[in-house]
Amino acid sequence: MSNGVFKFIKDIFIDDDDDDDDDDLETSDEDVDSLTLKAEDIERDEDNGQISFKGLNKKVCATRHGCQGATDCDYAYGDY
Amino acid sequence: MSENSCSSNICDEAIGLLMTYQCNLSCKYCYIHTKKSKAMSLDMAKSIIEPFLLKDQGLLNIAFMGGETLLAIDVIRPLVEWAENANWRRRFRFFGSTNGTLLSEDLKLWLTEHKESIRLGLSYDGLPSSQVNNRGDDAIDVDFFLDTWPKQAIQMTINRETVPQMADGIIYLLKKGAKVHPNVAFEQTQWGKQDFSEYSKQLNKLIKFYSENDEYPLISQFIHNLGEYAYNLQHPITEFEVCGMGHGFQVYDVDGLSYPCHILSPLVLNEEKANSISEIVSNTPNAIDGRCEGCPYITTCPTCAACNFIYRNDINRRDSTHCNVMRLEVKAFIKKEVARLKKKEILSSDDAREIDAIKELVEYNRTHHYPQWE
Repeated sequence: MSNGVFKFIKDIFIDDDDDDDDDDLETSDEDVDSLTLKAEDIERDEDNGQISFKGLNKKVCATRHGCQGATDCDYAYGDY
Repeated sequence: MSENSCSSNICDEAIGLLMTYQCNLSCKYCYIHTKKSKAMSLDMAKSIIEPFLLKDQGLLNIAFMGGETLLAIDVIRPLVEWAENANWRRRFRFFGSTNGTLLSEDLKLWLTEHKESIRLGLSYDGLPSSQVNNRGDDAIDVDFFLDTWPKQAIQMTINRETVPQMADGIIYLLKKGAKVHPNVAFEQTQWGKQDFSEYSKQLNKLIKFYSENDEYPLISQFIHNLGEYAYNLQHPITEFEVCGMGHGFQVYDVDGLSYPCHILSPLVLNEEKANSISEIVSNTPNAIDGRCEGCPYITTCPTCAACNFIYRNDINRRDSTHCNVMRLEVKAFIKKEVARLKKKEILSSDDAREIDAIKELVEYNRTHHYPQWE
């Protein structure tokens, strides 16, 4: 049996992608590389080396039982 | 104040009042297994909040907790009116989470009249079929909540059974004009591969929806700061305060005793654990679960310290469901951002820095596989 036939049969009958159930969320190397190239000559604004936990994009408190942000915890918080 | 933020000059202090142990529903993921018939009296509620109202400070948030909040409406109404009619030196706001099933027409009128003082947050699980599956009742006037408190997000809980309807449920509520806060339930049993696979499919549906309908508010699953995660890769976090439990936030039980939160109270815990919980919380450092060490997503990864305690006997011991869910959400967000950046003709400095972060995180995701914890 040729290698090509063997692979054909393997692809149909053998599922060896058990570890990649979420393949459809993967970002390809091609996309990363093309974006990297696209951003190559763009000057990055200086940052102070530390990103605040509270960040720019505050997320709603994931405990979902929350205190409505009053306790100023390290978590990014939001409306109840 | 932006709709998704609560900065310290708005919310200065928050307390919870356990108004009732009872509920008229039996939601599948509820952590309250034994519904006792305890309730807080009006006098007790006043005696608890009055010292807080007398302080000369910023906004006081008073959260009604339970049980089902509206089963305590006979106390809540006079309490709110009493607070409104006094001349306090600070502003206050009442909040109550509710299943929405007990709204009479008279109560709706009252709530509309007092909507600046009391806000209700509806818990409604997406499509009516999901709502019925999880909670057994979908005869709820969702529009009343949207009309009365348009900035208040609807709490949409997702469990294994309703994951396949997650995207449709979110889209259904968004199209009704709601802000939506979808969250995966904190439960004892953990998700399996099939569940995560389905969750991925739902996230993909939502990526497509948002790409064609960018006028709708984003759900928290699509709000991430990739620069923060890339920073965390270089500067691993070891200690982190996840919520205000035991460190500023306290909940008062029907008898006036206070607890770190409503889950870590006699509402859920047996007497022995309830009596020792404050000491346990104060003696437990805000340490990251050791299994999360080095993970860049720790700063926004969801957890509930109380649920960690009741299901795994350790405030810091996280569950595998949310670990894997977080991983998938970040991957979905990266995918969404890659599509946006590819379409953009001219990139900004922020875009370029985000691309730098994407490159690091894609590499990280590829080389790190998440275990199935207990």
